[in-house]
Amino acid sequence: MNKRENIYSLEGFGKVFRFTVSQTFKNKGYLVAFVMFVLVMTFMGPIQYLSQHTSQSAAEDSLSYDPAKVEVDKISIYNVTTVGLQVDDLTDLYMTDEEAKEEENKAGVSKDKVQVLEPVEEIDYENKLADSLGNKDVIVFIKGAETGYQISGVVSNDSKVEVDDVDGITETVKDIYEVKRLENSDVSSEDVQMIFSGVDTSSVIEESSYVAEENKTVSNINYMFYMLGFSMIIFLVVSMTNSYIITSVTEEKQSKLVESILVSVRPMALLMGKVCGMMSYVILLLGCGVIGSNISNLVMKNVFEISESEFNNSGFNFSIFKDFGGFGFVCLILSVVLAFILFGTIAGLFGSTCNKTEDIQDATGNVMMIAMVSYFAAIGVGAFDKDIVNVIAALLPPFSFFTAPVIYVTGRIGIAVLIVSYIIQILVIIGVMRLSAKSYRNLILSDSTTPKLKTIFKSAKM
Amino acid sequence: MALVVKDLYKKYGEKIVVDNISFEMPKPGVYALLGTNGAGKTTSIRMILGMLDKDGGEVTWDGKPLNFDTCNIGYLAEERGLYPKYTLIDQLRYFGELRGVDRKTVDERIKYWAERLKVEEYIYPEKAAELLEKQEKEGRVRYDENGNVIEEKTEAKKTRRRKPKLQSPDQLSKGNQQKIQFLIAMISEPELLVLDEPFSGLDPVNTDILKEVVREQIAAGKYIIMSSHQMEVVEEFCTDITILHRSKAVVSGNLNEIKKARGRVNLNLKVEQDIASYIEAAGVELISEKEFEYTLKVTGDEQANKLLSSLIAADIPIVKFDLSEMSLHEIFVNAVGENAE
Repeated sequence: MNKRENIYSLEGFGKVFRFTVSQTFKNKGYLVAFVMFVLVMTFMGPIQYLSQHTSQSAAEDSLSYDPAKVEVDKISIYNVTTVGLQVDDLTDLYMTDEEAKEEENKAGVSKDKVQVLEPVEEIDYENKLADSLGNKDVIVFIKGAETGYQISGVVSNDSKVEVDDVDGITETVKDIYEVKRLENSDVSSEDVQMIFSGVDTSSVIEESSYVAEENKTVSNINYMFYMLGFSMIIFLVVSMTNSYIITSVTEEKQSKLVESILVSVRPMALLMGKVCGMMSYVILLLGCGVIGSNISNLVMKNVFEISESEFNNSGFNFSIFKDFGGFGFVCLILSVVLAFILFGTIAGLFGSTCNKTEDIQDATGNVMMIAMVSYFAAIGVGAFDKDIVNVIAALLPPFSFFTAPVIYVTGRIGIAVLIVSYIIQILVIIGVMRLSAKSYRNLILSDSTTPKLKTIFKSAKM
Repeated sequence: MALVVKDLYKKYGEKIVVDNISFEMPKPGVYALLGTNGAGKTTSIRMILGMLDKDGGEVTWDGKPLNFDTCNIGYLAEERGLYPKYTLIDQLRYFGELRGVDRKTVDERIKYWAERLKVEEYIYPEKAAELLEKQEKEGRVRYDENGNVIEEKTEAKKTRRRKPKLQSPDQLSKGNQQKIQFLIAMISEPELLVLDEPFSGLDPVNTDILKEVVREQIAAGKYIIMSSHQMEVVEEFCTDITILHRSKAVVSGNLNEIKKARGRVNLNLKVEQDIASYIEAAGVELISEKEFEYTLKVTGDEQANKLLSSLIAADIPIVKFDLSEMSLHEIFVNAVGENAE
């Protein structure tokens, strides 16, 4: 009687799991990667903010206009538009009398240095004005253009006025002119903003589609960012651990250690112990990344007084894990776990086909190919954002491993579709695990295998 | 306890790699599984230990299917290796844990076997430090040809304190890696020990260490399956054998009985003169001759006695007359030769 043993037994899984975890954390490379990742997640917000803030401040400084620091003899405004502008309107352009008195040697721009010229109906008058400029004079021309108004700051060819100062003068005149223009139109600035904001229109839509649209909890653009962020997390998780699992399995195979191991543990337990051991490292890494991200936001809020919503760093900052409540978090983490088990098992299977170092590259490439196709498909789904595409992407493996939870938490599919998606994903994982149970032992004991899908399926029949 | 292997059968595609192999080990001892390269020894061992699925046959231990749940197995595989990046102590503990041995017992056994197999300095940093210190000390002392100390540079320079560093497993010599693997096989104190080429790659000193351990295991009533190409070593330990050739068992049974069945055919004869004519007259096959010491092949006792009688009748003084059974090596070569196509 040929009584076969239970090839699906996971007896010994815990021992392999513990050994894998302990050796992963003893591996300096993985330890350094862990620390670096958590540090980046913790300090990403403040560093990003500070670098943005510094460059913004520098830009603002270069454009800010301080009349006390500008060295000019005369500023002339030549305004040919219907919007009337007087010297008294240009208070931002010159110092107050008190400020002017405090300035030594009559430095800076005082009121008496500013003049508004009356328009003259003469051909080439503007050219004459420009030609008559001294090397410390500035003239600002305001005139109508096809699409609105044009304001230009002009200096002589041998001007000694700083370029930044000319820019500051022109910008200041522009700001004053804008306000004056709105005042003349008798329209408030809020009204102007509303006028220019535009109106969205929709064709006739069915009631069900309308309700679905209304239930969307995030906008299309944010959906795309969430999909990008989450699929990137899954892709990173897969790519980070894929080569480790393949190398680890190949190492065991090449060293022939596997024969000693297989007299103590079932092959399925050996493979799953490795995959789950590595997964615990990644889950811990993600957990610490989320904590780091929260610390980052706390620092932003308490030190820089910038709220999370103001500091928009959505994308790869784990914000998706906390933006959709506890249930959303559970769904997302579950998908990470399922994706990891699927791709980890596939990586283990491909690892068991490797006999040479070159094989490892091929095996890694094969797994990465599947992950990459799914990743790009997820990005496409995020960008496309059509209901039918969302439903298909949520149900069709391997894409569903990357997309389903995001589509659900952003309100594009219901809980029923998500549950069906999870059932399909689990069935796929069971299928891959059954294949592993049949193939893994044969592959790992064979010296004549190549990292191809065909080899894996063939070995299952042996 | 008894190991029964019955009609073991395996094929890959159309190729039969193990063809109905059967043997039994009703009592403790050493069973030799011998064979030419590619005869199916390793595949048979893998099936016996449950590593490979069988296409036919069964293997039982005490009446139950043999696997690591029903039997405490220790296995030294033919192709050996260690995890190159993990420390040896971690690896040994891992294997101990996989075999269900608690940490305290594992540590005790590692210590015991490391000492027995003389591999402590590769496992324990403090032993590595001791060895380093000893080597440094020896380096500071010079001896004359009679072994007397002629110079001791104890004050010459202070030895820089170095943190003892263990050799990584992949830097160990093949022999030391093999001893560590043997330690792994022994860590669970197995009832059934399977040793595939246990002595290959070992120097004479380490071979003796390992032989001593095997003798102890036999004395302790362990079941040992041994596969080797070193016939003289196998012959030293085994009581029963199976010789495989082209996936089939060509000889199988108790070694003494196999030898007895083949009779006493090796004659070693030493005289003080040339006896070539007597050898030829008796129809005995001459294998070699060196200074009137002859190695002969006879068909049995009768032919040997005929030669002896003719020498005595001719008053030829006989220094040595040693009629013995076939060696295992000869049995193997004959069995494989007879079945060669």
